[in-house]
Amino acid sequence: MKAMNLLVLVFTLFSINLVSAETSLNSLDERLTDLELKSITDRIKTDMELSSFYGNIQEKNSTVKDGEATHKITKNTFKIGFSGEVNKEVKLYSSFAVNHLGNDDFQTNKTPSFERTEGESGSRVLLRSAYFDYRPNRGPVILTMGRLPTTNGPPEHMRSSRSRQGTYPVTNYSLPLDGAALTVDWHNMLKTNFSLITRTVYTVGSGNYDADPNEGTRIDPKRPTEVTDSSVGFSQMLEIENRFSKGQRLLFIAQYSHYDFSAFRSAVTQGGILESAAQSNSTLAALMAANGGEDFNTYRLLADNKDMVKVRIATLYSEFQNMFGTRFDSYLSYTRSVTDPRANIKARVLASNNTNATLQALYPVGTEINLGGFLRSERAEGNRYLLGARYKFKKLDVGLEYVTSTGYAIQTDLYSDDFLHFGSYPGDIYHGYANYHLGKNFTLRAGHFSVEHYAVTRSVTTSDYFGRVHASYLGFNVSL
Amino acid sequence: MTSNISAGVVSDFISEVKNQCSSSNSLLVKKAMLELLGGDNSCEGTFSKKVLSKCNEINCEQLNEILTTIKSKYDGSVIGR
Repeated sequence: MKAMNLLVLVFTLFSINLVSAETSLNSLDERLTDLELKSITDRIKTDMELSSFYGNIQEKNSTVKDGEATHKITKNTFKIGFSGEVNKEVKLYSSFAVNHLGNDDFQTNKTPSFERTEGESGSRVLLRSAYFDYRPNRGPVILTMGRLPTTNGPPEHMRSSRSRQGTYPVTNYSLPLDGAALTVDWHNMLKTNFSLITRTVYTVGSGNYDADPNEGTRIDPKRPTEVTDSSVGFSQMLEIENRFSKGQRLLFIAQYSHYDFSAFRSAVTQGGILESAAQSNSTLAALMAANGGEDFNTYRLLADNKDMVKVRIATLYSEFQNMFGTRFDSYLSYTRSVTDPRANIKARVLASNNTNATLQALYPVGTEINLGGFLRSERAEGNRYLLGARYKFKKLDVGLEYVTSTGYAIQTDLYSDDFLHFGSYPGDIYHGYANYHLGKNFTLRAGHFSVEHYAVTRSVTTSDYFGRVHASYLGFNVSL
Repeated sequence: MTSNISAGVVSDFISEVKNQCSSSNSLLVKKAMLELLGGDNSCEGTFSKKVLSKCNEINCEQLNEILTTIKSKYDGSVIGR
């Protein structure tokens, strides 16, 4: 009898365990099914980012305001991105940005100038990227088409302590570009133990407004049916990335870009023209000083050739994180640019707003001022070197950057989230920065720039002009 | 910008952590990833601690860096990745 009771007890316990195991399995299956359903129904992924800068820029021997000027600057940027898998071979991405720049001179651009850089100085929402990646059979070749992620590239993410934000290094080029790209991932084909990618990018676009392509002054009034060609660009990239022990990561990018920019049929710009001319004309400089140092006229820029400028830019970029197992990171860039102007550019006075009566009389509405070629009158060549290093404490990243130029390198960082754009100044630039991580994806930023330049770019031309600039900023970046 | 998580991010993260520390357990790494994504980037969570305790090759900041870099591969910031 005892044995029988024991047998019943064991059987009952076994049955209870079986029921319990089945319940657990059912519960697990239900949770897994919920997760699968969630992953299938969550087709669109969203991310957001908000960043702000507050600071001031001091100019010594400035081209405006009697040689010395201080500007208080605020810059707020909000970005939102959407992405999703159309199917196993196609992914779709898009991102929008709105950027409001304010200082004690102006709040936002009243008159748009160059559509593609408007996102850096206006309040309108700008489409940063909208493209698809098509990877047939999940193979090594990827076709990309649309508005490409060609802004905010390396090393912008290093100085802001973020992940990589763009394809092209900003030291090569940075503008939202429409086009197509062919990427080949050689890693599996060549059996390399590092990532090896080549990328060929074709881009097309123009500096005219999309909304009013019929307006503006034609290049050649004698041939009124002739319209401006699109600007065309090719870029070839080689990208190598490798990870070693102790978290070491090495990224190397070689890029060669070739752009044929067409002339604008009309572009409107505020001021900047007489300031450039005054740098080589003492009489005009005196008149400008009497005008408060600034040119308040509005101009229409005109070019006498369909092809405005041919530009070649070659860049070698590398970044080495956690060097030799330490907390040090370094990044280096070398860029060489050659600019061949093909058109003579003129500025026609659209509105004469200068307060000085002599200036008004000298430059009435309709006056055309010859600006010469794009950037310089003749072919311009230049090199730009960047050397950066940072040390990562537990919650604090501290970095230092040095940029130096020779000749007249073209400005490449036209579209950048930096407080001061490095490419604006031929000369020596020092930048010290500190990024404190308050929590996940929430960073406080502070930094200081010290610039000694030998030339300045106003509107579309660069003139020899020595000056110093100091800029300090505080900011934050929060992303989701 | 940051990105949401896809299957590729998970498998790449496991693969990269195992590349640094071959003895790491996949489930532990996945659980540590959940902790990091949940906001614990100081690796105070149970599983992050376990992963790091068995791996002298990387520290907490490097574990976060690996995740951030891998996530950026899938967020559309770079053409054709």
